Amino acid sequence: MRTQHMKPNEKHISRTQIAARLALGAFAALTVTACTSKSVLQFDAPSGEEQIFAAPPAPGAVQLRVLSSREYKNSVKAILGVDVKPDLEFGARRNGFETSADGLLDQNLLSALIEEAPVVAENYIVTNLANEYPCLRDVPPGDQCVRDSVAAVGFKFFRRPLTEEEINDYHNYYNERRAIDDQHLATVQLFSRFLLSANFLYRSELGKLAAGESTTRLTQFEIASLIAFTLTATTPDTLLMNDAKSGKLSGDTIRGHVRRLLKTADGRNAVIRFMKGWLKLDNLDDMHRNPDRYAKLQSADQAWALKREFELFVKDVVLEGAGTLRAALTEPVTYVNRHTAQLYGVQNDGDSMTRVQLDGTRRGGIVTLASVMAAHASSTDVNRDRPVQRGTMILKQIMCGEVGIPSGLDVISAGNQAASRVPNYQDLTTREQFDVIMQQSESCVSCHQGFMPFGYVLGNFNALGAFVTDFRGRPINAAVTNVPMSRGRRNFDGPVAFVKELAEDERVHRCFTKQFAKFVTGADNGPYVDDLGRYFHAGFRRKKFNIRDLIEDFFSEEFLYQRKATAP
Amino acid sequence: MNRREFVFRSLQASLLLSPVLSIRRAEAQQLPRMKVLFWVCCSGYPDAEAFFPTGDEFNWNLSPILQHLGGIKDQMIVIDNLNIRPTGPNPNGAEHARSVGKILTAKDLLPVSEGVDDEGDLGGISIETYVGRELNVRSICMMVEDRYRRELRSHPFATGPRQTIRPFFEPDEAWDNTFRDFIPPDSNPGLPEFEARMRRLRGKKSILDGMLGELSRFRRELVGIERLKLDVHEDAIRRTEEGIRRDLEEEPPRPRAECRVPDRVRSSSYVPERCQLQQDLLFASFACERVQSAGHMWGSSGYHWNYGWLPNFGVIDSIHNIVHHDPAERERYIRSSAWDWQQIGRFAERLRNTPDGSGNMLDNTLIVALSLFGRHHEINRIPAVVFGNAQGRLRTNRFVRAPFNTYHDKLLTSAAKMMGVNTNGFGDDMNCGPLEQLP
Repeated sequence: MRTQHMKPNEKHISRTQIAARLALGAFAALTVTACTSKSVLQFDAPSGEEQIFAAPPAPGAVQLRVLSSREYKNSVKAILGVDVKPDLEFGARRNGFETSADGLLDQNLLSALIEEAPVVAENYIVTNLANEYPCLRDVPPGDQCVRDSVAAVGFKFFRRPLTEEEINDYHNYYNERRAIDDQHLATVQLFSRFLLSANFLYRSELGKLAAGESTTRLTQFEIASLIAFTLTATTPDTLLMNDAKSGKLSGDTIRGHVRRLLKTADGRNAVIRFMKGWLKLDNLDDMHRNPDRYAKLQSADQAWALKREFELFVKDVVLEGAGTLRAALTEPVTYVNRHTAQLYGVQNDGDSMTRVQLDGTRRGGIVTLASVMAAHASSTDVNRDRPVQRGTMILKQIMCGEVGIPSGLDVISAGNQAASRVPNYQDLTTREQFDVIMQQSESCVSCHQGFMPFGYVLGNFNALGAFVTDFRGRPINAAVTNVPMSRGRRNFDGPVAFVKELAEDERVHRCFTKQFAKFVTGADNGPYVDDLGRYFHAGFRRKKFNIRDLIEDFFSEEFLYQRKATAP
Repeated sequence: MNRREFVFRSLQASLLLSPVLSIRRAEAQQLPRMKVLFWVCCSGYPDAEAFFPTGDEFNWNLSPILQHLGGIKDQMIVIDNLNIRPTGPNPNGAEHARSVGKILTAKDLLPVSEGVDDEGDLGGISIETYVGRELNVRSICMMVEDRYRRELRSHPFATGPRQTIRPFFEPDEAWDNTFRDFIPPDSNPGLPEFEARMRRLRGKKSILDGMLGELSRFRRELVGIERLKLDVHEDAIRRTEEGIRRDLEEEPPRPRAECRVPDRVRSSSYVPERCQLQQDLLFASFACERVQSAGHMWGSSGYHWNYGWLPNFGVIDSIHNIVHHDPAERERYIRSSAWDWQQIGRFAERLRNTPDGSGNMLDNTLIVALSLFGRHHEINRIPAVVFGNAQGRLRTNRFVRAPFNTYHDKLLTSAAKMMGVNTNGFGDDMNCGPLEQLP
């Protein structure tokens, strides 16, 4: 296979090799790609070879994914039109996103859901049942209308048609309850059972494994669920389900749905959630929910404005504007109101968020937004940034690098000793303080040198994200030298030069696709997402790193819906 | 840690650490409200042996005066060595006024005020009214006597210094106060809630049964690591089911003592019948929880009945001489006192024989029975008996000897504390403390 973009030393992969790799699985894919490119996960800069074409990854494993609390609440709202209590929160975040596939339905969660289910059912029956399923309110239990209603309700909850066995099971259950309880209570029980069904609480990605086969394709309804929950965090809508019923969910049809959903509010919110996970912005939401825990905040309104700034930036630059990763990392634009304007040195007296074009000399792009810098900083002291936190965020989240944890080192004592040795320690800038601490041990230097430059270069942004040039009269030094990037070692005099280089860094491009793969599949770091990241990087690069295109391409690829059974 | 290890370790953790889920109520089953009756009679004993038991604390024998209380002995605590504090005025001598004035107030009498009976004034609030006020519950004072007398020696009840309470003398007066416009409550108010809870539990169990069936179908389609997730889920269902199964075994609440409002009757001039009518009213007041604290004066100090209802008793006027002056009348003194104590014993038995919640009415009622006098006119070693275990706070079937010269305000303090009043004393000594030998 050849492309117009092939370079002289590029190896191409034959159709035969692709087929063989699909048959062999993930390890075969690694074998092929390892021959053709250097690992982009190594710390030192890659050689510059460009991997334009990559073979499709091996199928992912079949899996069940417990709904996150967001998905659960949204699904209940979509199906029944009633709200779940707001403080019911659950869901694994092991892969950095709330879409992790490693969630477990343990006893604590089950007991919470058991308590909530009849409350939700009761609310629904009181408000909406009569209009939607009058049979379940007024008709004797053995009636065909009741059976049809059970099937219709089940279709919504299970996100697929029920089998005859399942319809009989639930219909008989309703009849039994009617024999014991009054109709109202029997209907509460029926809906409670649906709400607690494994078919509702789990997103299945199982396909239909035939005897003797090791791989399968997800069913049409499972594909609809995968698309819907990823892009809207709720159950598939009518249009998706209609195409699923007709067996049309593949290729361009899927692309059309993705394009459609990205224009909805739910779709936009999904992209915003992905970007928040990408940059590990848990604290941004926490500041908004619990402003009292952040003494550095000037008000709860400021926390809201910071959160809103990030959301509007993503909407503006990623969803509606240029839409490229490059633009996201460098575009000098933001949104402020009167609570955050002073962080940018601009005037604003209103409560509405207003777009501001920055001059690009001090900051630009998503990393240097006040909201992102505030999320990676001290929670109490407005003057203290956190170079370790910021640096590891860049290395791990944006470059997919590895950071070890200090072993055998008492970091608390190291800090205390440094403070006691230097008389004016409290007056030092944060960078100066860390330099004093790390000088105590070669072990500290050797590990920290991997990410501290990324934290220091952002040192002009205080704990609220305002750009400051000095601390107690001491100039803040954000210059870093000899930093290993994909295009070679670089010197940066400040954050603007740094984020521009990030935008060109191949590691960043590959990592972005890998992060998106984690977001969609729920998988954590490992061969599967590595393969997905490498594969989609080729197309991502081809399309000038357009994020909307990446999303569409991702879901349009057939292999995303292939599954294989895992070994015990 | 790879994914398989994570899921497997999570399964282990959930199996080890998942709390056994029980939706059983955390709080203890609610008990009926406790009631207290302070019963005061006006005759003591010819000699200590006639009243106080023989034996030791746990192996003791009923005395002649207490001989009729064999059926309730296991619910009694007889207390020796309690004295009324011999302080303050003793108008007209012979302790008649002082004992009445102090038996339920534990306060010295106040000197007579102008225009009031020359026996002085009560010095403070009486214990049954004090308990009622402190706990914000209803109290009632009743007196059984052949005719109403206004002298102090007929009035041990007060709301405060010089603020005597006229007790209900006629049963119909007491009935009007307690039961007029009263609608008896449901004797088992907790039952509907219990039944609703059981219904919800059975509903939840039915849901869980269905969930296990569905998991089985899922399990057939999975292999390897994903099955571990279902193991955690199934374990959660089974533990939850176990908790529900235990909760379904909970016993339904027992009904409270049935509240039957007695008929409103006019009194009787016949003392025993008068006693019975007043005790019927007290019983109904407690059963209907209309009253939580009561005082019952049994006769008037110095004005004794002739006990003509006792066969061949042979007293025409009153037993005053027998009680206070004639040592030779020991047997008749014992007979009359025995009859008095038999009546309070029967009342205690009636309470004991009436189911109330998980126990009986006597479990939930404390009776403090006292006499104004010990031997003849003496106010030391006064007869004192406690009936009931005060909802498990007291160990009964005992004969307790308090230290020599213990004052009875400690017993009144104990009773108040067992009712839930936050106090360390009562009467003239608010720091006297409870009777340590009682629990």
